[in-house]
Amino acid sequence: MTGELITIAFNALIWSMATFLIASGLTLVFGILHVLNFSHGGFFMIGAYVAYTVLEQFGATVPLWAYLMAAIVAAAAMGTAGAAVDQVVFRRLKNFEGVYVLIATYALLLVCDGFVKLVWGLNYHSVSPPESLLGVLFAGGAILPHFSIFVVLAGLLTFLVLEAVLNHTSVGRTLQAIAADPWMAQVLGINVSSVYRWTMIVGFALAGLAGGLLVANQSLSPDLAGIFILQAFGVVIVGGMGSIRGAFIAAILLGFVEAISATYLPSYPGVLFFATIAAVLILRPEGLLGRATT
Amino acid sequence: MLEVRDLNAFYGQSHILHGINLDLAEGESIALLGRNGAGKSTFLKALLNADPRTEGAMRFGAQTLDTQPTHTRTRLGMSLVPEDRRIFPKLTVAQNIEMGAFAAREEQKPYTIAEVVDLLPMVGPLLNRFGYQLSGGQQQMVAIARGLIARPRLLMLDEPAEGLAPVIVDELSDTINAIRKAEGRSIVVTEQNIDFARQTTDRLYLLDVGSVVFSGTWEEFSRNADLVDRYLVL
Repeated sequence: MTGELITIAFNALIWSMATFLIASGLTLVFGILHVLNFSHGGFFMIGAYVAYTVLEQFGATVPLWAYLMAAIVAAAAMGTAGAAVDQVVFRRLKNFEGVYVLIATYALLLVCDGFVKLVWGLNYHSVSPPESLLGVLFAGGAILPHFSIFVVLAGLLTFLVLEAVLNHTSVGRTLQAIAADPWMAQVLGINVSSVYRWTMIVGFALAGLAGGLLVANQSLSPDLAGIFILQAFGVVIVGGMGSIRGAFIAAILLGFVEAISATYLPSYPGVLFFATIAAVLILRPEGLLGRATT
Repeated sequence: MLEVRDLNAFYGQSHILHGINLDLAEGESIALLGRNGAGKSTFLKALLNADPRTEGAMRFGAQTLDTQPTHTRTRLGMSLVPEDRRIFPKLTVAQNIEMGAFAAREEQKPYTIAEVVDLLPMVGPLLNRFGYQLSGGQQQMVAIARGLIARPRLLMLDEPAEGLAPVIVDELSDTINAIRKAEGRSIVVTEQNIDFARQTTDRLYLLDVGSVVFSGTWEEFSRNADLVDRYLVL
C-alpha cells in the first residue's frame, strides 16, 4: 500500500513538473502580453527535435552534460524563433483584436507541424536518458527512475528561478507593472516594446528548454505538440491565466488527479482531468490565483 | 522650452484638437482650462505620443518631437501624471515611485526615495503600503511622487484636484508650488477648478471643443468675466 501511494505521488510529481516546464512559458507570455499562444506546443516540439538532432551526434550513450547542453541549444534556438515570430507576426498584429492574434498563433502551430514533417519526417524517433540517469531508486516499495527525479527537479528549479525573478528583482517588478498597465509603463519611460520582445524570447526559450529536457521521455513524432499542449493549457487555465505560481500549484493538483485517475480509473483516461478543470472553472472562473475580470 | 504649432490630434476618425498653438518657457507654469471633452488630456497625451495620432509641429528644448515613441519622449524630461493616477495596485508605494526613475535623463540622476519624501512628506508614511490600499488623495500624491522622481524638466498634471476633498486640494496646491520652486521646474496643470489652477500657475490657456479660445495671464482672464460663463460653466 505504501509503495502504491509513493508511486502515485511520484507519478503525480513527474506529470506535474513535466507539464509545468511546458506551461511556464505559455503562462509567462499570457501574463505579460495577454497573448494566448496556441503555437507554444509547436515550439516545444521543435525544441525536442532540435535536442534530438544534437544528441544524435553522441550515439547510444549520452553523457549528462551533453543532454543539458542539447536542452540549452534547443532553448536558444526557440528563443531566436521567438524573436523572429515577435517581429514577423505579433508586432504586426499589436493593434488588432485578440481573436486575430489567436488565429495567427494557431496558424503558427500548423507551420511548426509542417516544419517538423519537412525536416525530420513522419517516422518516430527516440532518445535514451543520459547514461548517469539510467538507474532507479527504491523507496518504500516504489521504483523511482533517476531520469524522472531529474525531470521533477528541473521543473522545481524552473519554478524557483521564475518566482525569484518575478517577485524579488527589479526586472520582475517592471514586468508586473507592464502586465498591469502597459500604457502607464511607457509613460513612465519604460520601453514596453522591448520588454514584450524579451518576454516572447524567454517564453519561447522556455518551450525549447522543456522540449530539450523532456526529449528522453517521449516518442518524437509530429503529434507531440498536441499531446502536451492540452495538458499545459489545462494547467494555465486552472492556475489562473498569467500566474506562474498558479500554474505551479495547478500542475501539482492536476498531476495528482491524473495519477489517481491512472491508478484507480484506468478505463476512463482524462475524465477526472477534465472534470477537475470544469469544477475549478465553475467555482472560481478566474482560476486558482488568477485576477477576476469585470 | 515647449513650442507647439498647429497641433491637430485624432482618435480614429474623431478630430479632437484643432490647430493648437502653445508656448511654455523654462520654469514657467501654465494651466489648461476647459470643460470635460475640451481636449485637455488629449493635448498632454499628444505631447507624449501616448495614444492620439497627431499632425503639426512640436518642439521640446532642442528636440523636435516627430516620430519618437512615448518612452523616448518621457526620457527627454517630460513627465505626465494622468487624471486617473494609474497606480500599480500590486506594487508598494516605494516600488511604484521607483518605476518613475526609468524616465531619468542620462545627464541627470533621479531623486532618491528620501529626496522625493522631502518634497512630498505626505508620501513618507505610505511607502510600504500596496497601491490598492491607498485612498484617492494618497494615490494622487504617490502619482505625483512617481512623476517627479526622474527630475523631469516638465511636469504635466492632468486634473490633479479632481475627486479630492477640499482640505487635500489645499495641501496639493502647496505641494505643487513647492515642486515648482524646486529646480525651477516647468509645470502644466489641466483643471476645471479655476481657483486651484490660479494658485498653482502663472498663466492659462482656455480650451473649448479642441481649440484655444483664450490665452493670457490670470489678470487678463479675470478682466474677461464672460469667459467663465461661455467656456467653463456647465
